[in-house]
Amino acid sequence: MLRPTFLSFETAKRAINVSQLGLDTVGHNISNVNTPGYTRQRVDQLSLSLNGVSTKYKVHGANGQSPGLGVLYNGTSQIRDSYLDTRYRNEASTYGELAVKAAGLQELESIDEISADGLNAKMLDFINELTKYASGASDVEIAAAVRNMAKQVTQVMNKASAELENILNNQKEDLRISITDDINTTLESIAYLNERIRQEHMTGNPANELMDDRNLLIDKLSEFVNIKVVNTPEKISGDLTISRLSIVMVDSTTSPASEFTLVDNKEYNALGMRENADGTVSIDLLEGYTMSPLKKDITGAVTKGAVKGYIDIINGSGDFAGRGDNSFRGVPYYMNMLDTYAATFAKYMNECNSITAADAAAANSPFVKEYDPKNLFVSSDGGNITAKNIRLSQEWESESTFLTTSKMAPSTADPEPVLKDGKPVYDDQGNQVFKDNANADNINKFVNMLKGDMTFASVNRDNERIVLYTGGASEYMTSLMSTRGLDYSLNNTLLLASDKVISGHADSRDAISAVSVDEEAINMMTYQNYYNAAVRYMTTLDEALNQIISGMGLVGR
Amino acid sequence: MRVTNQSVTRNYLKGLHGNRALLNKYSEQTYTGQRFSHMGENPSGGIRAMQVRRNLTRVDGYLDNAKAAKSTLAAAEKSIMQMSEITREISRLTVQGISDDNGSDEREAIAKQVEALQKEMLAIANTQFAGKYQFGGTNNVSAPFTLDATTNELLYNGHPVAGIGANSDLLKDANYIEVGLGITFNPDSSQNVDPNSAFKNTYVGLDFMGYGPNNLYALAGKIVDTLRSGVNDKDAAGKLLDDFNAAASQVTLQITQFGADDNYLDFTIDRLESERITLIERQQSIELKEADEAILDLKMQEYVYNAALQMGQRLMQPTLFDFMK
Repeated sequence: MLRPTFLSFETAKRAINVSQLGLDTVGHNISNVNTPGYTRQRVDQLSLSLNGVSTKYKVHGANGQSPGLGVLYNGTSQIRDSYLDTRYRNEASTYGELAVKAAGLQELESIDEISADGLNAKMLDFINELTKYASGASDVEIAAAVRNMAKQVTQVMNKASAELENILNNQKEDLRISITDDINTTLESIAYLNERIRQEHMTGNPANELMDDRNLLIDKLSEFVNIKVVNTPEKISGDLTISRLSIVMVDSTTSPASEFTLVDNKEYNALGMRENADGTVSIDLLEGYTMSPLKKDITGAVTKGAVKGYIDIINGSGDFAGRGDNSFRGVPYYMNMLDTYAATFAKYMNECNSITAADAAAANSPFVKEYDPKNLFVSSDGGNITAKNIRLSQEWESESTFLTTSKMAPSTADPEPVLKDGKPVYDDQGNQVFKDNANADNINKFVNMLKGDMTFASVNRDNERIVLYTGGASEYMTSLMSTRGLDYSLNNTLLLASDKVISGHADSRDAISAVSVDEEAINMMTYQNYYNAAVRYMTTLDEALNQIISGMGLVGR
Repeated sequence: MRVTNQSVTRNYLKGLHGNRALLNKYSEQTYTGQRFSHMGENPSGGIRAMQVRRNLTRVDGYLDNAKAAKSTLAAAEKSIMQMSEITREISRLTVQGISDDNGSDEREAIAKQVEALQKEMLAIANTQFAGKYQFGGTNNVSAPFTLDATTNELLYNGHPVAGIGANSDLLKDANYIEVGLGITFNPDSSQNVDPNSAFKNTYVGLDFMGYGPNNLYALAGKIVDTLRSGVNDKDAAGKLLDDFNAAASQVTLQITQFGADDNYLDFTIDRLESERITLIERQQSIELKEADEAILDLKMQEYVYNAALQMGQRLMQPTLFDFMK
């Protein structure tokens, strides 16, 4: 059987081609060393042969064997491991959640202080003024100083409450921006890329660059919510099966676990944020292109990611959580704790200041009349006292001696009346007002109470009574600040650990799919030598043929 | 494991950022002198710092109270000294007046002197210190000792002194201030302070003026009357003088009591001030960082950071391409 003359030329040509393509790919890889999300590509080569029963004409050889016909270029593919991708994305969700919580807890530091002007410092100063008032109970100037200090305490409470509200609104705004700008646009882009990739795959093009883009977007999405990437094979024709990508969110708290589709090929759903009347937020599922509501309140399905972090900070009411409420110590927890502080402080101060019927009976004096309630602190809007609305009462504002210094009978049978323009003064109950004497028994009571004798109680979201702390006013604040400090410290530790883990996953992933410049240099040398060899082979073939064409049969000429 | 340029760059940058952050932290510690500025950086240290601050504020309050009590006490002591001198003078004059060598003119002169001294006693008992009456117990806004308009007898806070007995509540009338002993209240009467748990900073004039019919003012009055009427009964006059001297000894007793109180206050102030110093030392050891330790940490970190920067140069640049011919 004859061998086709120019058969090997095709082999050589194919070899030169493939080596050129190899060099092209090396160049492509080196240029994209720093492109984010780029996966290294390599040339797929197959060796070619025409053996076997399937050919009609055998080439040559006794038993139908023939040497191979060189190399066949089978496309450029990328090297990627989807398992490593899944591990990376899982950790990215955790990291995203911890990062958002760390930022939120740090913002809450504003109610903290190791400086001179915070809430705790003002309360300590107030207690100090009261202690000094005890040694000068008849001194109107000291009474005014005490009232001033109390006013500062209420003002700092108002300010702290306003700051907390500010933080809450900022976090809600951040969440809104994350959802509309980051998550929903990413979902839309992924859906769009899905369609493009599908079309490319159907024509046999591996679409490496588009796949890289899509993977980058999925990585970004995984920082925000917990996702599961599902690749379903779809049979297009006899020998073409392409993969259909969908992304779902799994809610494993329901039984059976419910799944919410975020992306399915070119269709996508979006997330929406809804503010509820009680100040919490919920996440809804919306239809992608029309943004019409699809499923209400899938907040339980968000278990990781930055969105979960935001939800915990915005909804978390800690000890105040009812059944089914978010029990993370987020902003609502601190707002409630501050309100409890203000309300309990006011309640105890008001009660200690009031002269009850029992007090009047024990004093047994015409100069100690019942005056109940005799409020030092009131709310500015008439409702329950909170940190936002606590104020000094009108009576105390206008008369600094409204603070009851003594509930005992005066030692003199004829106490000095308070005169205004020479006329006697009467209080709101119609009783005549007399000057304070040096007896400070009630002031000592105030101080004792503030130092260690208060029960801070409130109601949780299910309207059940809860006791948060028993002890002094300053101790309550210290306990609250230390809770926040410990939460922040723990969260930070977890964040640093997660950072290390995610680095490890990124390194593993890069080990498979990133470009190593040294390796490309070696590849380049390899392909160059390959090219040289192929060209030399071509030269050899050419010479051999030249021998036949130009040199055979010239004997005797 | 295959090491790629991206992972090398990423890890190097991460390490560099970590070093830079530490460098920042040590710089801040050095120039503020504080170990930490937020509770989150060191929760347990923060809690202790808060406790120390709380105790410091309290001790400052007690010190203030103790020092105020000391100045009140000093003023009361001065008044008591004057009272003591007056009683001695009255006693001397009475001895002189009772003796036989006096004619009615001389006795009248002596009687006038004793009367004047009696008025002075009343004035001293009604002295004020910084606008507050000193000897009215908890009543410091009106003069404690007054004279009844009709009978001219001595009243204390509106009650006749002659009728006051040893069990009178007026004698127990007192105000207490916290000086760090931990004030507690009597279980039976919730407003009453347990006297052993606080310091009493008010004074009841009855303690030195006396109570019942034999108080100094009444006795002095009787002396004046006796002198004016002619000292007819020598024995009765002698007994009157004895009664007066007995009553006057209460003043001396009061001086001794004030001296003891003064010592107690000095001791309390000393104790509070040394407690204060201890607390400040403790606060500094928790919150502040010593300059030498801070600078040492900073220098170490600078060295580490520089080393990292240099390593970067060796790590990032060379590839195989540099070595190919």
